[in-house]
Amino acid sequence: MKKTKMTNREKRNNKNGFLFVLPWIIGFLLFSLYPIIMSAYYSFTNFSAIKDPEWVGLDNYAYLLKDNLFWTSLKNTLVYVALSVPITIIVSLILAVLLKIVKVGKSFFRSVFYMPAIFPVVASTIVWLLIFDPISGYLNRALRMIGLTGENWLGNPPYTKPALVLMTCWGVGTTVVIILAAMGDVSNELYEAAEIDGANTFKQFWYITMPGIAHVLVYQVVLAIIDGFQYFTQVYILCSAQSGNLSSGSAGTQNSLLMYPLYLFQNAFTRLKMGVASSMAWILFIIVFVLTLILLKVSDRFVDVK
Amino acid sequence: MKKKRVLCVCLTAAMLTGLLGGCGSAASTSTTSDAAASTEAGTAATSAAAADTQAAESTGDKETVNFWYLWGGDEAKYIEQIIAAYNDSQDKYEVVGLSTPDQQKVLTGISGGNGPDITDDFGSDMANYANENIALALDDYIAKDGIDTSAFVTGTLDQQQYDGKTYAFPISANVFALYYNKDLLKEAGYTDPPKTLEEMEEMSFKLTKSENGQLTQLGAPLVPTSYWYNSITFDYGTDYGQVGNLTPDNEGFRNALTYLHDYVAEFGSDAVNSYVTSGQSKVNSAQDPFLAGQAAFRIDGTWFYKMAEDAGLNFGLELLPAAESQNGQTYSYLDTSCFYIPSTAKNPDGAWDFLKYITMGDGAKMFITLKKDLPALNSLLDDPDVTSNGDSYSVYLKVLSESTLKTMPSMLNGSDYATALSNAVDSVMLGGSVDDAIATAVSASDGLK
Repeated sequence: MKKTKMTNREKRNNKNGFLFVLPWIIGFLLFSLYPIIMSAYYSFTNFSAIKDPEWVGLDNYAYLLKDNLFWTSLKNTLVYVALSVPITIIVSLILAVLLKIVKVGKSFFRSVFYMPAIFPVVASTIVWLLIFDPISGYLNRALRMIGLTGENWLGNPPYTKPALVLMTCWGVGTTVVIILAAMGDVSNELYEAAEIDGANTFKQFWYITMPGIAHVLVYQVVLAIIDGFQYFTQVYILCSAQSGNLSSGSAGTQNSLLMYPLYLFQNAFTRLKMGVASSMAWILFIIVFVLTLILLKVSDRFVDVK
Repeated sequence: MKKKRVLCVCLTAAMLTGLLGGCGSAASTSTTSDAAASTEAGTAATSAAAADTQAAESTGDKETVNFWYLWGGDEAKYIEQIIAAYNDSQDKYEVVGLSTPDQQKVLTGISGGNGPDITDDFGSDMANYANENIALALDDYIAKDGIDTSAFVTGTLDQQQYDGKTYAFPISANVFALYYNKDLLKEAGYTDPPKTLEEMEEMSFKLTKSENGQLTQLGAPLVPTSYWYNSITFDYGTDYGQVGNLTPDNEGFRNALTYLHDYVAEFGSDAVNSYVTSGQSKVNSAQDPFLAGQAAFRIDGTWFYKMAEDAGLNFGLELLPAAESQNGQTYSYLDTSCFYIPSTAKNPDGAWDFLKYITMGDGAKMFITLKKDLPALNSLLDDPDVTSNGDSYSVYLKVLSESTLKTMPSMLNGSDYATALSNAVDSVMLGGSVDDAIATAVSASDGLK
């Protein structure tokens, strides 16, 4: 059967609808799609943002494979992700459970834990710099009070990543709120039934709450991984504060704060190697994409998507 | 169920696109920031045009020379005074100044072809600017006007040259001298500042105090982190070499690392490293170790004098003493500020005329006397108006005229080289051996251009 023709009103509605989304489409094409395509092109060129790009094939990728700092930055980022993702998710989960259990001052505690998420990152990083100061910092002063010596958190390579993870844990408010909301969605009947069957609190959590919020947790893990690979502002501020110079190539003691995006930025803006920086962006994209695919595949086994 | 899965994958894809878009826009500045630059330049052009109309009304038709400078605040006022003096001094060009304290903005302006006709920067950036065709080579102008570049203090032109050509003229020189805390020296039984570099190193051990595994007083000039080892390296008459023959294994750098190694062995790696990390993040603030009266020595530039004075310290300032092997010859690490003409300048002839005025002519003297920077011109070293700038100033003028000035090599990978050197210092600070640190620095600087 032939499709009926659109009425004039439908045509007009279609046109108007299209006009409404047009600003977004234009914005997306100009400011997202075009830069993405161009960065793919630049990754195959020798480009300084000043001179015209010059096609060099895979040279930038070959250069990176031989570049020690590239491997250092990748290693730093992988260590950070490996530490921060499980720790922040577990901390968020614990906080969410506690917030669910606590009956007194519910909204007060929820606000307190969410608050760090709305602080400007630059400001909070400067505060963390004061907290981590090895001589006069609050953290070491507190540790000395209980008889420990304290560490040079941001100046001694083995301690820099744990320090960064601690900073990240402080800002898990958003994840906590999302997990808390997911917990609220789990049907009460299930708990009641479990109680009648004699399941204790832990069993209820493990067999009812966890499967109920698993899909949200997986999504939070994916977000945490992406955030981890994009970790930039904090190390940029910390390194600049340590060297007293925003545009310098410094990256902490023995490059221990040289995260992948920081090195990408330095290549682009301190070394004027836009081509190399674009290659780094694409390598990062591939790494995160593959990791995400694997994670979604694996999570199929235990996430019951209803 | 299927729907949810699809939605999940779509969401993830959207997130990742965000990631790439973020990187993409960072990586492809020319696209997004070109637009920004043209708006920027548009604003600049409007204000320039406005200023120009005013100028045209008052002085007739002079050619406009757009001059963007990185200075702001009071310093910008000094620059405007120099511009006004230049505009009054001749009838051909009208310089229009614009304070633009953002290097990136200047560069995007230049790359978009809407930048200035003349601008300023640091000498250490000139090799890259030359290589990237950001700066115009001045050789033709120099030959045409028969400019004698020996008018500049020896060494100050080095950073402005790349691959045999000159791309900028220096306006001021930054050299370094030794500050010492008189009270701390006296307390340790010293009445005079050290006479040799070796003596300073020896004194620094006695001037260091520690308590419960923590330093409470820093004897060695380890803060700010980069000044001290470069100064010591140069003080032995050695340097870091040139492109093609980089020498991070030079004797001076080895001596600097050995000094650090001994210092760390005496007071503990954790104690020294913690003190330096803490001090470094407070450089030039009220808690700066030297300004707080907790550090005996400090190697720093002219700008530090006023801070030390304001902190109410009882301090002295001397040339960094010579190493024994140098028989009294002193050296200083040198960095310069300079002016260059961008390759996309619309009025390079006018820019060149103003460049001569501000780096070699009356403008140079105004710049130095107003801003109290150190001159890069020989003729200003003993100019009474310049020498009357005060005691601290005369110490630095003495550095300029007596010490041999040394710069970091003029190279494209300058920041990689600097990183290789600072990593060597870090590794010794963390308790590593000098030989290992140097071997790593040598391999890291291999192939740098």
